[in-house]
Amino acid sequence: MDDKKPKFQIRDGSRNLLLLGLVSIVVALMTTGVSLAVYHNSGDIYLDRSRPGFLPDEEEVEDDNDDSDEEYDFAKSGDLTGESLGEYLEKIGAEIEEVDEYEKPFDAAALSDEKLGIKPEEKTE
Amino acid sequence: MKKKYLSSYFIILMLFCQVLVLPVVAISEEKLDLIETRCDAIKDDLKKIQREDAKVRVHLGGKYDAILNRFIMPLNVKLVEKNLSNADFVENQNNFVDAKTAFSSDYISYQQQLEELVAMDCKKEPEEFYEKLVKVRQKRKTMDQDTMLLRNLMSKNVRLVTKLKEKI
Repeated sequence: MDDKKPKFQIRDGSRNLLLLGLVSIVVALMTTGVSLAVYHNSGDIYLDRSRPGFLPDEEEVEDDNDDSDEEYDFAKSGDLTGESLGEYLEKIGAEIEEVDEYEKPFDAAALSDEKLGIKPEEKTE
Repeated sequence: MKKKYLSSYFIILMLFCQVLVLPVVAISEEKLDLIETRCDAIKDDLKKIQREDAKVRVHLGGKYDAILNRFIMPLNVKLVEKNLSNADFVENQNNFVDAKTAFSSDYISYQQQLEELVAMDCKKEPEEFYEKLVKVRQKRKTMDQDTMLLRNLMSKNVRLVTKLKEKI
């Protein structure tokens, strides 16, 4: 009866540790893969400007900091007066002006043959 | 007689299928050569456009959010509270929300197509590259329409508020 070897030996322990390490790596790779797939498919990747090559310019960062100082919210409660509506129009006008800074923001001409330099020269005879 | 009808139906069906299968864009040999030779330069241009678009999207998206959440919606809440709300204000807000949602989803779709275009090998597949470029142009056109619609809705809001101010 005493001749029976114990079921678990020290060698099994190190093997289990190795297995645990491998399983952990596989799980980490899988969850990272799923996260990246969600990040990509949800479109968040296209809004992420912390990606290399997409970082904001210094000027933009400064502009953003300036904006945060003077944030306006139209009050949901209180009296509705001509004065409050005048302020509303003034502030929304300023926002619209900033939108208008981009003239034709997604102008089709940016992808035209001319812009990409793939328009064959017209033959003159 | 039946056979004659059947054969004519078959011919019409074949012609219809051919129309569907035919490529929409006719690409000249010269253009394909230019795509092949200028492939790297074109890709650089497309990457620049991608970066610029990301900047514009984030900026405009932020502005649209601000206009909706800090102006249009609070004003409508107040108008309802004061029993001054009318269908035009509500309709304008709903249209703005819909247009903003379309702007966001169209941008994702446009960028996915643009990303696929940049990943294509224009030296090996200039024809497929150009066909894809045409599709990306369509997506960009949709983006242009989305921004124009949102701009019009902002103007409409300003007109409505100006009218309301005159009444008060």
